[in-house]
Formats: sequence, C-alpha cells, structure tokens
Amino acid sequence: MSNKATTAFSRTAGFFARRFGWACAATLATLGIAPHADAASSEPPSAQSVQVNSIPERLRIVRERLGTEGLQNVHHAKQLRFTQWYKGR
Amino acid sequence: MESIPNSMCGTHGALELLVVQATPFCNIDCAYCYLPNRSSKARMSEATLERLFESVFSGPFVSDRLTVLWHAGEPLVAGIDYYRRAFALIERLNRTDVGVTHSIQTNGTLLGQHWIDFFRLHDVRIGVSLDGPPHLHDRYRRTRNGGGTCEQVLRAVRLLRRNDYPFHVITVLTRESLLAARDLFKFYLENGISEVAFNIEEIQGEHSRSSFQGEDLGEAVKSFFRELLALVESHPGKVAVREFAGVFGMITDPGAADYGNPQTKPMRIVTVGVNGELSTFSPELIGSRSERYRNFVFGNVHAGGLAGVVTESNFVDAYRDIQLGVAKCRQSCEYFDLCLGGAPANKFFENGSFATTDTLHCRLSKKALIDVALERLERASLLRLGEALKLPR
Repeated sequence: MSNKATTAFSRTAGFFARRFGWACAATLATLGIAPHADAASSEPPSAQSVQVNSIPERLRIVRERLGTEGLQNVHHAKQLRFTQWYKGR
Repeated sequence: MESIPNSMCGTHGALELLVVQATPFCNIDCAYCYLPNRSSKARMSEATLERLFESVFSGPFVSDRLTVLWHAGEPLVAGIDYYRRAFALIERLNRTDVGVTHSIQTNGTLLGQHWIDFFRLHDVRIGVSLDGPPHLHDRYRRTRNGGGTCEQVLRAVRLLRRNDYPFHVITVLTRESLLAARDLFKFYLENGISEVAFNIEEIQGEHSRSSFQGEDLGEAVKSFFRELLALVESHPGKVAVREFAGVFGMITDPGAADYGNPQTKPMRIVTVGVNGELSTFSPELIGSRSERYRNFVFGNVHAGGLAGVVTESNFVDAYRDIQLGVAKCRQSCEYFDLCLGGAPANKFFENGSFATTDTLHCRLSKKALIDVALERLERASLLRLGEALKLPR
C-alpha cells in the first residue's frame, strides 16, 4: 500500500474499531487489510473517530487495550528536572 | 510549632513548592509578562527571608521535601552574594533536615561562569526561558530598549552545555509559533536542548490580551503538538517534552490523579512577595489586583506567618470560590479526571471569577494535549492489535 493509502486505511480501521468494536477491526485485519497504525504519524485522525466516544470512555478503552506495561512503553519516560509549577515565563 | 484552626484541618496539602520573589525587577521587558511590578528594584531583605524560613520549617505545612523556586522577576538580578547568604540562612534554619531543592527560572541574559559554579555547589535546578530561534524569541522577549535577547540567551545555553550543567528550557508558545513545530524542534537539536516545557501565552495579571484570543486556535494547537510528538518520537532520546511526559503519565497511570491539583489545594504552593506577602493557590495571583480577595495577599511572614494564612477571611473566600469552580468542572467537563479542575488564576483572569470553568488555558493547554495523546494511544492500541494477530506492520 502507498503511504497515503496506508494512512487512509489506518483512519478507517480506527474508525471501525471505535465505532463497532475491536472484533470488527480484527475482521478487517484478517481479510488482509492490516491496521497499519502509524505510531509516529502527525496526521490527525478523522473527525468521526474522535467523536464516537467520550473522553472517559476512550481513556478506559486505551488503558484496557494497552495495559500498564504497554502504556509505559508508549512514550519514553525520561526523568525530568522540571519544577512542579509550570507556568513561569 | 504553629497551629492551624480545626476548621482547616484536612483541607490543606503539604507544602511542596515555595515560590520566592527575591526581587520583582526584571532586566528585560517581555511583551507577554504578567508581573505588575517588574520595574521595582526592591529586594527581599534578610530579615524577611529569616522570618519566612522560620515560619516554613516550624510551621504545620512542611513535609520531608520542599522545592524553593526563585522566580517572579529575574532572579539573577539579585546577585550571587544574595543567594550565598540566602542559601546559608536556609540551611541554618533547616533544623529538621527537610530535603530542600533550589530552583531558578532565568532569562539567561546575566548568566556567567560564576553562576554555574554556584549552581553546581548547591545542585540548583535551572530553567532558561527561550522561545526558539530569533524570529520567534525576539518578537516578544525584548530588552527594555526593544532589542532582541535571543543571542544573549543562546550564549547562556552554550555556557551551560560547555559546563555539562543540566537545564531545561521553557518556551512560551504564541500564535506565531504554532506553524513552527519543525523549526523549534530543529532549534532544540542544534542547540543541545534536551528538556523543553511549553507554556501557552495566556491572559494573566498585567498581560490582559493573548495572541490566541479571537478565532478558535484549538485545532492549530493540536496540529502543533501532533507534529512535535511525531518529531520527538522519531528522534528517540533527543528531546523530552514536559507536556508529553505529563499527559501520558496521567493517562497511563490511573493513580496519578491521587497527586491531585496543587493549584486548588491551599498551601501546597506558597508564593512569597518581596516584602513577605504570602499567597497560595496559583503563583501568578500575587501582585494582581482584586478588591474581593484583597489582591490575593493572605498574610505576611512578619504577621502570622504561614499558619496565619488559612485564618484570613479573603483566603476563606478565595478557597470557597476555587472549590466551587472545581465542583463545576467536575460536573460539566469530560476531561476532569485528567485535569482535576484547572488553574484558578486563569479562571480569575479570563472569567473574572474562580467559581467558573472553561478558559483558554483549559482548551489549549489541557484539552488539546489530552486529545493528541489519546489519539496517539489509540493508534498504538491498533498497532498492538495488529501485532497480536501477527499482521505485517
């Protein structure tokens, strides 16, 4: 798939997953249409995909799907030396 | 030990951040500065410092650790001897061995080798205010004559790097920066800046306008953070961004909410003005005008000390209104579990009351980031699904 097509598919798969559940996304995947989740993409997801669920629901799903271990690996957790209050100029 | 009234027991948190205004004076004149007295050359006296730290170390709020942030005015203006005396005084008064970390947020223009030697001696944490390359930085961060300061700040950054002294950078994001994520990231890489924090230009105190007002720039802020996140992740270990660490931390660790919101709990953050004035909640409140809350001065180190703050009627009014605002946020905002009620200062400066909810700060600094982080994690969970099904990446 071209990059453009891959990205378009990622959006579609994400939309289906959120709209109809992971089983549907998995079905799509088993049909040979891989959900190529472009991890470092700066592309926004489709508008529909962010409207399907509320923030608490999306939060719950993300935590459930990725699990603590997976989540910790998502972003490098370098120990920062920032002060706690953060709005100085 | 000073005591506090029973009615306040359980409502305050342990003091974790003490923001001390050694001087309100700043040698430069940033267009977005919110400090009202930045031309005053007053300095906090030794007597005030002594009363302050006596009150801190003998008071009911101290725990085993404390960050002292020298801020609100350019701290280096006070001179190195001032801090030598101040640090020695604090050490002398710290009879219970509280773990004190000193932190300085500086514009960098006065930084020299002698400062770095001093910082190293006391393990001072350093933040440098730097908004990116000259075309972004010099637009707002100017000398009192209107000249740019970027080159002077970069000289400080080079000096810190030559000394291998750790520092972070605070970049104020303005409307102009939103299209410059790539330029900013390249700038950090080129200048060896590995820890960055972003503050959105806000309406605060004296700064009553923001370049973000008017049209809704929420989507533009999200695009900025999406692009920056992609850059950060495609250059592993190069640049750590406080906002990403914070928001991913909140999302990935459900227990992170237990830390609460230090700006809405009394005495977790205490701000001390140059004459010993005491304030709490958001540090930006001190020095700002308000008849209802008597300019957010809830006490003085020379009269009542820290323990006296929670008995003042203007403090009680402010605390009640802040709690009302938090309750409204909890009731009306789906982001509440990750934001925990926002920043009282922004509510006051933007909406005229603590007992309100939505602000520019909410939309641009909280919601936009949470949206970007959730999108990113949702992509990751899709990827995980693909891996589980042994699908090609």
